[in-house]
Amino acid sequence: MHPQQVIFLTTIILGTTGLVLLLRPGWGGLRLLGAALSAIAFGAVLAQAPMIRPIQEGVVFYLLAALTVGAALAAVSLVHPLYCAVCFGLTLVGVSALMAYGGAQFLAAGTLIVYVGAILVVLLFVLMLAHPRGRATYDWNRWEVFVSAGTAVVFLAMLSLLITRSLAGPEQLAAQAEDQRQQTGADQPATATVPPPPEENFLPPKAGQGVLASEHVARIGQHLFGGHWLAVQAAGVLLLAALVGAAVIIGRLHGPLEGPQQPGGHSPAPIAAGQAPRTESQRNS
Amino acid sequence: MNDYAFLHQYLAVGAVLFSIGLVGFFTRRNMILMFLCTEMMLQGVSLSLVGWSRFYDDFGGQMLVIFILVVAACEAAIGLALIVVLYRQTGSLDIALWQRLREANQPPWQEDRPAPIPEEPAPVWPRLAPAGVRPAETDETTEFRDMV
Repeated sequence: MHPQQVIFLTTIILGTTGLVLLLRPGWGGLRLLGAALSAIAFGAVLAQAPMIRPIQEGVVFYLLAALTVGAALAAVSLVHPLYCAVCFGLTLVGVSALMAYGGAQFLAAGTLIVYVGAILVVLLFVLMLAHPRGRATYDWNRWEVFVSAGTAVVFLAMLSLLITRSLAGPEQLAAQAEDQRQQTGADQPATATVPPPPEENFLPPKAGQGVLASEHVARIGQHLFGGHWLAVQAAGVLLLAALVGAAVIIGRLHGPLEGPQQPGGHSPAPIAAGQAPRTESQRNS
Repeated sequence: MNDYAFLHQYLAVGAVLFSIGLVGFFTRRNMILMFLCTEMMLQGVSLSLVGWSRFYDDFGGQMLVIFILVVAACEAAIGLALIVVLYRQTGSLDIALWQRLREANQPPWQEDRPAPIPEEPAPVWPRLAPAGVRPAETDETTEFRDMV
């Protein structure tokens, strides 16, 4: 096997094992080990992107990425829902910092304001409303962890393959061609494996003052209310509709929502707790 | 070539965030946490869009992220309202209670090995000294009494 394939398979197995260890309820040390394993696997995925910079050049980026991914892992795997929400807030802070680092200052501020300021607060509010004790059985016992972790890691591996293979830069393409030429033998005509020039795959980055211009927010305003004004109107209507819809859904104080009448004349029966596989009351009894 | 490096880094982090959100959505059973994981997936997509926007030096990706923000806000309002309605019907946030919404003729899902719930330690309440009995004096209290 090619060494790259070995690394790839090892990454997949390592990531799956780490995620399973992290998500299974059990001994704390084992879960820490799982977190470390999955972090290593995700780091390997990051390192597979071909044109990745060495760490010395992008310390800020790597610190922010580590913060984001670590907080995301914690948000997914912690048992207590409140801690999960707080870790999700940390993830949002990391994402908005990454956005600011990537030349999207307005979006960074918007993400912080909308997500942390509004969505996360509402989420915490509902969590405290519905979950006063903070710990429940179903936070320990989760759905099929093996299948889910395997699916997610294979999905991530496919995405990384996509990034690695089809978004390769010109230098990477030349290196791949050189590899192929060495593998097939020097007697092969070299013209057979010449990669297409990168201009055919992607437009070269324009040398302009676009995203990184100094009047960044003003340009965003120009684009938003110039070319996208119809979408802005539609977004406003959507927000209004969501507001009214949430008020209508939540406004029935007494009893569940009345569905349309069944042809048999009886409304759907309310769910019985006995039909559930294992409810909390069943386990306690 | 720095642009390619930037793009790859952002795409990789976005893919990792999306995958973590995916595994969270598959494994968690708390409805609010499932909702949170979908938001995490949206964040991953937003991050990769920001990377593309930087790569092409074009504002299209950032416009898309702004509208993703709007849709996420609407989704939060509607989704949390629905979660509260579902909570009123069952008294629990467990999504496993809604198994009857699945396809018909499916076997009921059972936990293969339910984990034991760790015991919560009994809370330690502060105790007052019993009335009428003079508490024992330490050196500290006698030493600093006149300074209080």
